[in-house]
Amino acid sequence: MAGKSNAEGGAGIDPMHQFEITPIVELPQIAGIDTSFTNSSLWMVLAVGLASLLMVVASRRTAIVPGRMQLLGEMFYSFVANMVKENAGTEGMKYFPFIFSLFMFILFCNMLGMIPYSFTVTSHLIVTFALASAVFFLITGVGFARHGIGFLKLFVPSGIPVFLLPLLVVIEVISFLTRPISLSVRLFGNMMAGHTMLKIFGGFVVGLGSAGLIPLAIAPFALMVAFTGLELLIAGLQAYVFTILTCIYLNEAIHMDH
Amino acid sequence: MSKRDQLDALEEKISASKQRLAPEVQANANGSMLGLAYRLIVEILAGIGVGGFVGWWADKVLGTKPVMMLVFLGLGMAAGLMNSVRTVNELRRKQDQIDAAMREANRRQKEE
Repeated sequence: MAGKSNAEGGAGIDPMHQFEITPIVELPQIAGIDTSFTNSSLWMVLAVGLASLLMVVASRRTAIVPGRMQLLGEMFYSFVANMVKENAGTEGMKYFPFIFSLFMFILFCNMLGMIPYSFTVTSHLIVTFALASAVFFLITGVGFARHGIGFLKLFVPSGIPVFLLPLLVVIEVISFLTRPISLSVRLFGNMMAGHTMLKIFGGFVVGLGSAGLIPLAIAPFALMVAFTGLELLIAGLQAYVFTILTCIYLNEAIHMDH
Repeated sequence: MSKRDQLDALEEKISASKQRLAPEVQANANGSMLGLAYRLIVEILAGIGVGGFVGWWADKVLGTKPVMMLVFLGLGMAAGLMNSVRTVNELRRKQDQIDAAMREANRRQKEE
């Protein structure tokens, strides 16, 4: 995309440029798949590294009266643990490690994306879709492992006349299949829309400012400050929504009730 | 009634309405309404998307070009709508639980 950056000089700031994947270390293709270490990989590694570092530091010295880091770690732990217990019951705690990792990864990816010049991993549909697929396969696997073929009863609503049953079973199956899509699109859409909006308002500020219209640039600048706060909220909220929906789906797979 | 009594009565009234109003702000399980709206829209769109994809795939396999796609688009819309209705019902149930707990707490406070 080298030609694009030349065109940019004249046309102002391209709000979608921030989502571009650029290789940092070029690696050969393996079986037709480009294995280069990209900016996306870098920020994923950073998210995993920082989340792990936080938890390791938090649990290194455990005191009865917790220090700052320990308190932070315990806060994350009890937040997710309560969420799992409330939505999936005590049996759901078996899957706590997965859900906790999921929450921390999404939260750190979203929050690291708020740093200027960083890359937001979760603003790519394929990344969120991979996460949602992992959740989808987990709940399907858990359902079949726990209830065997009886898990298919999930698709048969009770108290429905027989002639409507085939139709409703198909609808239920489709509604089950939409889960990974709606999970991933929700996270991706929120992150991408927010970052694009921030970039556009940033472009207004720079454009108006460099045109000498500094008083006019104040309004988009004020909006940008407000939106940055809103984006921080959304970054946390979307990590929470993704995790709580995982818990709700897991509850369905464990207890088979709608 | 002396001025002192009037002030006391007013004070009581103020604290009563404070108690009545204060918990409601925190007792919202849905988070923001914007978030809820976004959630429902995504739910419906995902239904249509998945229905369309299944229909397109079935058409390709069975060779019945437009039929399956139309059928499954309809079914997908139904699935999306059902999902969003379920989401709303779930949220309403949770909100009702919170409201009931709040009323219970307020009633107990008043009795004391």
